[in-house]
Amino acid sequence: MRRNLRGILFMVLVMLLTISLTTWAEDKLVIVGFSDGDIEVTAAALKALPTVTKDVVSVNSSGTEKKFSITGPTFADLLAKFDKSQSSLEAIRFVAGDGYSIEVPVEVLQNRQIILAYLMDGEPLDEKSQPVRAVIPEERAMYWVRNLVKIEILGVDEQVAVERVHFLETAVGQLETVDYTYYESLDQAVSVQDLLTNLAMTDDSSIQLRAVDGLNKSEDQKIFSNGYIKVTGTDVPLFLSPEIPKGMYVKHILHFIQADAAVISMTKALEGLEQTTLDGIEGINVVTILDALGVVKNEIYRLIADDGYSVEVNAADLSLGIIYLDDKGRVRSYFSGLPNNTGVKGLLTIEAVK
Amino acid sequence: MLFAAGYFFCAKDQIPEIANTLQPGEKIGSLKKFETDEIPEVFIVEDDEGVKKIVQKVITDGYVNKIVLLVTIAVNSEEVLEVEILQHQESEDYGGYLTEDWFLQRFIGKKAGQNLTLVKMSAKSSDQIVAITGATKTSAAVLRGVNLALQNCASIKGGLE
Repeated sequence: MRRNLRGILFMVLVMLLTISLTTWAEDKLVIVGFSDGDIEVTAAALKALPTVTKDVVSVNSSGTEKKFSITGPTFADLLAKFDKSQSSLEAIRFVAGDGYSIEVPVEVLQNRQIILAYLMDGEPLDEKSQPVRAVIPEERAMYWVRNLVKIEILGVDEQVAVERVHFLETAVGQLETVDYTYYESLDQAVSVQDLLTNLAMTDDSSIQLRAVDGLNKSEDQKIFSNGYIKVTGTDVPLFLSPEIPKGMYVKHILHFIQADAAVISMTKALEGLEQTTLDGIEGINVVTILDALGVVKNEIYRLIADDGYSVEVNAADLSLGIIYLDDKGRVRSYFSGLPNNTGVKGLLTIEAVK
Repeated sequence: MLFAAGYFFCAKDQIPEIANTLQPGEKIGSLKKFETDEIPEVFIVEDDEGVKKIVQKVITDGYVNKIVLLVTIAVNSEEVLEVEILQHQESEDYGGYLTEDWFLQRFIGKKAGQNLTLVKMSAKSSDQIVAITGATKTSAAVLRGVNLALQNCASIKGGLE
């Protein structure tokens, strides 16, 4: 009787193990966006590819480092199996089963090895990380996507010339802020949706964010517009949202661009762009700002204040002007040798006049 | 009195997580009567003046697996003094932040009788706890553990008196 019971227990254990392994083996990674159709690969098929094992160090947004040994096939080898090449791609997006997603830009695709890891430190991934975890050694942990279930092949968004630049500090001053707890601190944030609506940025294309430390990140419009920009306390301006993990936050935003509009933080511009002094005022040359954002070349530019006041300046005179923050933190313009009315207080926008 | 209250003293090396926090003159007692499936271990810490703290080991369901936490509550003020995560397997870049001080500090000072609730951006009242971003289930698990400990605390105090 006891022997029978043991036998049954053993059989149950074997069945459970088999079911668990079978489930993992049948988990799928889907690659969508190729013109000749989607690619579906099972975890078992990925395991059958040539693998690499590497010691890697992940660095998260807080700078914390963790060391791992990972094993799995490379994305390049997977694509090669279907006569495709990683280096010919313009951009991809990793999508996790829990909704986390991140775009991998062309610079990373052309210069980095992407490993689809199914072992970490010699052990199978935990259930929530299966079927594979994308790992890009030498890139930040935000690209190391667990529970990777989909890779979208993206075309590069059609480059639209930037025609208007908004100043974040002025735009934020027009909005209501909300309390936002960040670590131990209670800070203030504005809704990105409110900000975009107020600036008439209604395009649904992705957003290109740049931090003052040089980090570039492309974010899905829906994720971005559902988030917040924290404007007080540490790490500001900071893109964050209670719905996304910290790895998707962008600290110290210098600017972000969507379609023909850009938003720049003057506070960060004073850290990240070349400063100049004009008639005793320290700021950034107007041309430096417009060039940093790739603003279209026109004959006339219009400067618009938060109270609706506007003034036009010829392109030839732009180099005579600087943008600066006054002692109350307001964004202002000053042009040497031009009429005083070109000195705009509460500068909200500079736009190329069509 | 101690025997009647239903607890007995433990050797410190049996419960190193608590023993490490003891002040000179403090002793630990194990209180089996108030243990449950979700609170498998209950301890009291006392000195010459009487029972000072109730320490409970709580097990809750996290997002990935079980989370084991240790909740220390002051007997007199019935306030949470400390929450420590003893064991978890939450994903490092989501719920893995549950061990960080900035999150656990959000529970300090919460009182027995409060039913703590989870919020996403900022707390509007003292019974609200701001969740870890992108890790609602993990945050809810820790919150449930602390709520269980706070609820059990009232019964334990009654039993000691």
